[in-house]
Amino acid sequence: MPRRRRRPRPRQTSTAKPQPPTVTTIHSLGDDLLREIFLRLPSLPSLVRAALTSRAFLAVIRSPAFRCRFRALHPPPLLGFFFESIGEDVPSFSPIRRRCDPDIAAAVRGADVFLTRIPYHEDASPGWKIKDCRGGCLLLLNYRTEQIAVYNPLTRALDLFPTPPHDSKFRYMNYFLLYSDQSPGSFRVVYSCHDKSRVRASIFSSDTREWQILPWSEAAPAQPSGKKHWLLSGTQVNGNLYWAHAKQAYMVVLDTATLQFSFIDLLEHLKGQGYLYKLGAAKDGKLCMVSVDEFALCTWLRRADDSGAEKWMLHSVIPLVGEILQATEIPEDELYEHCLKVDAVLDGIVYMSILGEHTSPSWFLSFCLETRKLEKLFQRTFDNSFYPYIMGWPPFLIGNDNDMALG
Amino acid sequence: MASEKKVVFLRSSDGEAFEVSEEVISAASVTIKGMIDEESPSRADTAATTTLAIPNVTAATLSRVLHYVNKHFDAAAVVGRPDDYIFCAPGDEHPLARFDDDFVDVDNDTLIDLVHAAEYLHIKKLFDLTCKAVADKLKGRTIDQIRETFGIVNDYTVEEEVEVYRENSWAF
Repeated sequence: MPRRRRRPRPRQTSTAKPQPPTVTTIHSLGDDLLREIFLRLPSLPSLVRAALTSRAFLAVIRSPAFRCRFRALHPPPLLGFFFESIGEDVPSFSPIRRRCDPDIAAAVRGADVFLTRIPYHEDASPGWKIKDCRGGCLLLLNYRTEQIAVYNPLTRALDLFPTPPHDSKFRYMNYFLLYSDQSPGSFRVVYSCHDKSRVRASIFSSDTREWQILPWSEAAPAQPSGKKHWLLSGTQVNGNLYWAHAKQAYMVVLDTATLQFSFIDLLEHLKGQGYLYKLGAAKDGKLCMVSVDEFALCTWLRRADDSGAEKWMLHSVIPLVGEILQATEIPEDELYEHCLKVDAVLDGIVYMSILGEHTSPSWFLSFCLETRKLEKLFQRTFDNSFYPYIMGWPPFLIGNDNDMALG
Repeated sequence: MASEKKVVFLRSSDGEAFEVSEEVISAASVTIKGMIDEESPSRADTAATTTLAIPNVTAATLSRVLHYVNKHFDAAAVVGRPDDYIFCAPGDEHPLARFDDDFVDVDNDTLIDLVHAAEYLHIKKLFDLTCKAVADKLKGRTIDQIRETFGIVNDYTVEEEVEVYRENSWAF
């Protein structure tokens, strides 16, 4: 301890507590210091709990700048995965159990992962299917009742509306949920279909509550004749929708801000092989592609070449055999009976699975492109599709200092 | 002259003065280094020691801060005291992890005083440590538990409270 040179204060008895000259409770911390503390909370669920304790705390963090800083410092709050199995009328949920974060556990416990607020129809086989998952909301479709549900299992906010008018002349492609933190509470849903050479989208807005049918795209560059389905299932990245051609080395793109269609190239060696790669967003939100080469990941970015034309450029090749063997404890000589599949690339995190023979459970893993850290999530069997469920930034944490947005 | 260690005295808001090595406190605190640099032309050739007023920090807090500073920024002390290493648990990230844990194992008001002091004195490592310690006291608790721990008054109206609860029932 440092030496004290003099003691001007009178001696205090051991029972009397020295009275500090200023109030030094947590209320004495100014907004900047509170933000510094909140930034050091381990996860979004911890932040929500702290923010909700008082209006003053809530006001401190309701800024886009804070949201950006918090997100930059924390991994996306993955709560679990929704699975769809053949023969199930409602998707089921598998939580992430390994993380020792009691606030994430509380969010998992409190979320309506059984989707109890979604209307149940006994005769509604095949039931509700997940079509997209954004901002903590699920986009669910019921073919039989021709209903769409946008549901946030954490806030339990539910929006139900009818599917768009369907014309059986055209092939249905995808539904997408467009959600922006800038306008909490409102969303858009995109439905896409195609004819022999063109793509068309219809957009539902939660504000107008109507479907708007957009004009057809121009004819796509090259078409195989007589094929009805010529586009693979699409992906949403950063407000753009991408559909790869089933055989050719290009993709159709819809910019959901301008509602304009365009075409971009796909790597020649990946054409027609949708199971080998996924488009997604890097942590900075930019478009990237992650492809699989046995047990290595290849990451590709859109960059301008010398002539100024944008191209896919190889950014990194990441061998993962060692990490996968260690995480899954699959015996080395059995690894080649398995295959690595990339399932989604969201916010710089690659969600992937290790599939073995069809009866054996698959491993679900995540890999952070920034830290290069592989994380084992869980092991389970599945027979259809699945969606990582990442908690959305809660609407009440969004706003400016002047409104409480509690209504 | 070079081998002789210079010291400065820091006077707390409530009038106590603490002696600390000039080299150590300059390495730790951007604020105090700035004060010393401002003072130095006038005392370059004198043997007089400098006393700096730290008006925002009480003696109790300043004493703790200097304890931390001497542990973390006095290179001789860190290298010369092997017992710090002996008491490190195998999982400790650095030799002073155990010291840091004990250092912030204090009551809330003391901890928040340390946050203020670390900010004012601009001691980044201490600022990070103390902010993280407050965050650690917030995490893993329900909303009511946080209010109780930190004496936070629930200032929502009844209507707002109902709304907040409806949308975030998991957090309570």
